Amino acid sequence: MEINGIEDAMRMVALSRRKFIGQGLAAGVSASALGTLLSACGGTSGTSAGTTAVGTPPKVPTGTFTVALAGPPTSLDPGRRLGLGAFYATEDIYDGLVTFNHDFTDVVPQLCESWTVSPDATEWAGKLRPGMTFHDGTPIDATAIRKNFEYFLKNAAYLFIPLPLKKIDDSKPDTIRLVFQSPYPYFTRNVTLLKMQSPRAIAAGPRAIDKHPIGSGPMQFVSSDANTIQLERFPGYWNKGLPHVEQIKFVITSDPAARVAALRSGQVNLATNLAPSEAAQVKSDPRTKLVSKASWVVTTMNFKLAAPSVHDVRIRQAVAYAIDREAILKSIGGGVGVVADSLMPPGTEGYSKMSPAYAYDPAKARELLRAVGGPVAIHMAVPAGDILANFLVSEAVAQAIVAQLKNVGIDASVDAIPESQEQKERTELKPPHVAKLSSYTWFTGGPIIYGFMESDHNMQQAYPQQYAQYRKLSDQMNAEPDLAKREAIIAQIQQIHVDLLPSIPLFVMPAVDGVSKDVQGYVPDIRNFGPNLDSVYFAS
Amino acid sequence: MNLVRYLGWRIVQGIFVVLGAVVVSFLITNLAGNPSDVIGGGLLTPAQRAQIGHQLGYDRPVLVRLGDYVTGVLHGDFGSSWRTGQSALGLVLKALPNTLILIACAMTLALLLAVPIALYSVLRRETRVDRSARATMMLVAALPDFWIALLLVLLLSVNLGALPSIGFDSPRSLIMPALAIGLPLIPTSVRLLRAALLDVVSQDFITTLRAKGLGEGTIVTRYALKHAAGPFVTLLAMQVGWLLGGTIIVEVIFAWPGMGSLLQDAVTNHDIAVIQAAVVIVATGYVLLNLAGDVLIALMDPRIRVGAR
Repeated sequence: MEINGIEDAMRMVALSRRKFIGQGLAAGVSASALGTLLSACGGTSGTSAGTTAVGTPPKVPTGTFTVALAGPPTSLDPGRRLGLGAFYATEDIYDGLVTFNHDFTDVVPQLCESWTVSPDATEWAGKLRPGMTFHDGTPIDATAIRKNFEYFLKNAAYLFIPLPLKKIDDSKPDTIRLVFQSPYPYFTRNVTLLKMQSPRAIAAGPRAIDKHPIGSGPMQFVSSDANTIQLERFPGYWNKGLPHVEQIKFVITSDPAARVAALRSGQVNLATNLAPSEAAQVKSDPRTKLVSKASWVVTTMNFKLAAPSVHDVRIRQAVAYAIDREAILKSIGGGVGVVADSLMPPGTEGYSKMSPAYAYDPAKARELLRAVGGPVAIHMAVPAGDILANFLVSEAVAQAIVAQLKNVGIDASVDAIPESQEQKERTELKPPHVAKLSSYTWFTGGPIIYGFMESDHNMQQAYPQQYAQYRKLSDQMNAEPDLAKREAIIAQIQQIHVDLLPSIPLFVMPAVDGVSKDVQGYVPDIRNFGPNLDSVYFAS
Repeated sequence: MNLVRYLGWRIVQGIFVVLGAVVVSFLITNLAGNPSDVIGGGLLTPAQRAQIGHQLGYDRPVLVRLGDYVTGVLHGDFGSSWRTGQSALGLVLKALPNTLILIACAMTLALLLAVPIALYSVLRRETRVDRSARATMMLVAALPDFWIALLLVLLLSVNLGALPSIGFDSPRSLIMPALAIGLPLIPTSVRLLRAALLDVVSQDFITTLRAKGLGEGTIVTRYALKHAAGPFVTLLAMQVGWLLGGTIIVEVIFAWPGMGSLLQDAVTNHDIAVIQAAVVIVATGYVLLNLAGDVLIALMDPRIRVGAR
């Protein structure tokens, strides 16, 4: 399949760009036209796909945009950044080969202006934009990108995505060719998480990177101290016209109430991840406004499948029917958020509504429990505090679930567990816990192998036969270049989950952020990984 | 000579306290797991976490690590922060001055208010003013510092926009955190100083001074205050020592770049080397402040030196 001329291009634009990528791959396309077309779709040039922009950005970058950062970054190194603070602080320092557009509906070109992919999706060749440099003046060429990928492989322990590279070819300075050991149709989605830095920084080592990161993004690093990180506009940025602010300052403010107070008093321009009570303050204050967007974060209730008290699937089904999610959202969530109708949130690749939907039906829950016979006890765990930056994973929600389970005759109780314990119980719940309230971020907007991690080990122990089938399907999914076929496989995987219910999807948490009234062009990061601020500007 | 012996004994005691803090802080922080448990916010696989744990050296036996740690501490090496790679001691010493500035301002504020209130309360004892002052002090004592902090932020920053609520950009940034920490210190100081003064003014030598015709104000401020200062100085030393590690909540609320914020972040991220360094520095500070308090009292009151002998 070739893309020739404006008619083909227009036809393709009529499709969603996500579908287009899939179809292009299926036909073994494609080509630089793909990237060119994606660029033409408005993903990367000039003002971005903002949601609340009023007026036009200033011709000259103006002002300092101050962000209340929830915690200090663990690292400023793109090869070792973990945790929200690190992603927030570095999102504008670094560019990737591709990125999500600001609405997170598509993957769009960034350092690479176009891509060529082999029919089996094992070889990806990206053509780099000409004339780009890192903040230190080092040219961005294929060798620089190769060194970055080598650095990622060296720090594989910090990678959130699989990177089964067989060969990195930098023989042409303007083209980086990546050959994978097996088909890698999710490459573009996954590679959005990998940001490129100057080879000089890589050579200087991790400690030097943390002290002075050097990327190629719209903002360059100026300084950092115990509670602030200062960035300024990179005048040599390849995407002329961006950013719209002269400086970005991050002020580390651990306390959520302090972040909101600082926003309302005008000390900062952005406070993210607001809980309902904080959102209400921001909403009622004439100096601030709320910016909200459906996210890729799903709150779930996970089970230890091998535990005798919940091993019978009818018990888990009864739990699913016993939870009145609408009521919880209304009473505790302040009406914010939506009931999850799938393991994957809407907008992700492979999303489909689960069937049965397990809508609230206490009578059915009691019926299932009667069929099981005998008393049922469920001791669940919930992360204490706001560990997961998700107000729907809270002790209040857990207590509400406990009350609803008791209502159908389940002897339920809950423990609030500290962060270290929470991490340990992510892959395997420890007695007496047989269930846990948790959340998962589909941070690439599609399924990757870790997407089902929380239930992976569980299934292997409790349902080896279904687990083998699940693994087989997962491998097929990861290697299938055709989007339609891939989505069909994902549907099968999801059906295994729906039938076995290793976890019950409860809510899709919205990204709720507060900004100063004069801020325009801000779009929340629905991955909860840190918003890109290159499109932000001040109205005045 | 007596004072030197006394000091020597106190220093030896202090060394044991600090060594105890080194060992206990190591064991307690290690009971809580290792940083690889929290690194990655749950997005890493168990194998990746194990690899990071290995890289950070947490797969070695606890006793081996304890031995290495104690040896390192004796050489001034508290290890490095796993997050930033910087020296843990360096991070703590960088944050310490900001906390000391905050404590100094809070203590100054507390002293400036507590001493006059206590003196006035003694001079006008059992009057309506004295009873009102005592009732007010009880009320202030009941207010937790974080509540005062939030109230101040709401009033002075959010509603009036008069003061910055986070960070340390200018001296104005000091006002609210110093008030939040200083105000709850006042009642204890007033009560202790008032009680000590009342005890002193009932003694015979004060009666003699009165018989000589000295005014009550002169007696209390010039003579009684000096004699009542001993327990008050001890209290101040203990308060400062406590504040070294006790400003966490207020520092977090005001995003103050001091020891409290550092400790909170370190605890949240399991930055064990930083937690250990902070605990040892706080313990050392506590010991030194108590020592300084003891020396001051010994210098002011010869009976203490005699007692030491």
